[in-house]
Parts: sequence; C-alpha cells; structure tokens
Amino acid sequence: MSFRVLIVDDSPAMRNFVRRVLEVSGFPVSECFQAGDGEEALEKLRAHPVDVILSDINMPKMDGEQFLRRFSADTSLKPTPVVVVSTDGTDVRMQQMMALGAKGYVKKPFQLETLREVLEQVMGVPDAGA
Amino acid sequence: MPVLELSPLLTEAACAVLETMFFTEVLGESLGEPQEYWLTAQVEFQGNRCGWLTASAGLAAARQLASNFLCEDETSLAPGQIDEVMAELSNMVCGSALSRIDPSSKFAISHPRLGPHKPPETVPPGWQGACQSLDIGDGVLRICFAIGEPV
Repeated sequence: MSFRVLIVDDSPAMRNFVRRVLEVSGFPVSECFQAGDGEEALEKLRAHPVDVILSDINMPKMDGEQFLRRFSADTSLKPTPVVVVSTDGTDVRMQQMMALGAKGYVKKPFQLETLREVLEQVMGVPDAGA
Repeated sequence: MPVLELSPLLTEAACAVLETMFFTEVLGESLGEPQEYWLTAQVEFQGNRCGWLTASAGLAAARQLASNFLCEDETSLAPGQIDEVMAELSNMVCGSALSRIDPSSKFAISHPRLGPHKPPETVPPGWQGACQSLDIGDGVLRICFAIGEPV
C-alpha cells in the first residue's frame, strides 16, 4: 500500500525538505503534491484527491487554521486526515488544531523518524520504515 | 514582565534546529569575525509577548546551511534557495524559542523578511533579549532575539 500526499507550506525549501524526508524515511508514497497556502491546497485537492495532507499553519492568503476549517466543512472534498507540521509548538496551538480536526501534530524542528512515525500512526501503517 | 534568562534558551533552541533539521553541528560560541556581507532574515511575533528574531550569516555560512538543509551541492544552489533557507531558519528558531519560553501561550509569527543587513550588535534598550554568535564551521550564524510586552 502506498499513499498520495499533499504538502502545504509557503516555503518551497520546507516543502522539498518534507518531500525528501518522506522519500528517505521509507513511508510509502505513490504521489506527492505541493501547495503554497491553504487556498492553493483546496484547488489541488479538487483536482487530485490524496490520502493524507501535511500542512503548515503560518501561511499567507489562507493559513493552516483557515484551511482546516474550510477543508473540514467542504463536503465535496474527500475526507482526508491532516497532519500539522509547524514551528508553533505551543500547547494552546496544538490543542486548537487538534480540536479543529487535525489527526496529528509534528513540531519543527523534528527528528526525521518522527514524521514517519506520526504518519504511520495516522494512516494505520505499522512500522513502514522497518 | 519577569526577567528571563534568554541566552541559554536561545542557544538551546538554535542548536536544536541546526542539528535536527539543518544537519549542522554548532562547534561553539564564536567571538565574531568581520564579514563584508551579511544576509539577515527577520521575523516578528505577537501574542502574550511581542518581539523579533534575526538570523544572520555570511555568504559561506548561509551556503553551508542551505546545502545541508536542501541536501544539494553548494555549487548548484541558486541565490533564491539560500534566501528561502535563511527565512525558514529564522522562523524555526523563533518558534522553537517561543515554545520554550511560554509553551502555554499562543503566538503569531510574521513571514520572514530578508535583506543584506548587518545583524544587531545588541538588543535595543527597553527589550529583554540575547544575541548569540555560533560557530558552524564555514562561518558564523548570529541569532538575536528580543522580547517585550504586547503592543
């Protein structure tokens, strides 16, 4: 089994970093899409439904919080787990994003295996990197 | 606002980011060295406290950081990629520092601004803060962090 992934982050450097981490971690990815903000992510999801979304919070136009609200409310889109990947590691922000429906939260900086472990947990894929 | 001991906390936050995401070892504190060119990324934050953080590096150090982060050869890096990586570095160190200072508060961090500016020599009067110069092998990374009451 492999997964279609959408990476949402306004930093191209960070998007490429996350893509590379997924490649080297052994998490099974069949296709990897990228978006620079929440608005672009919604457009991408209409054209390319995915299995899991990795989203930053602090982005221009539509930030991660707005994206999560809009995505969750849009019944035309395939329900998809969202994992937040953010520099904002404060407890209050984590609780807020989880309350909005995020299924996982990865604080930057993160160990490479942490991202894989959270994705395995969210997607129910035990020990994909072993 | 209680006085915070920010220097060790800032070093801890910067080292965690550099070693975990930039695969860059901090060799120790640097006494500083003259640089003809600095690239500085700055973020500001608002929340229970407000303030700013700058991350500044000379060209060689900035190239090293970009190369390590992007896993690309230094010679193949475009100037835009170095800017992006310095911007991400400032964002991450700021978030990491704030999570350590006040994990129960919510902050909004601005988008990084970049420019060929010299880093601050000290934190301006009226702010709490710290400046640290870190030896990362190919040069110095200077991080300055200032924190005050919300505007």
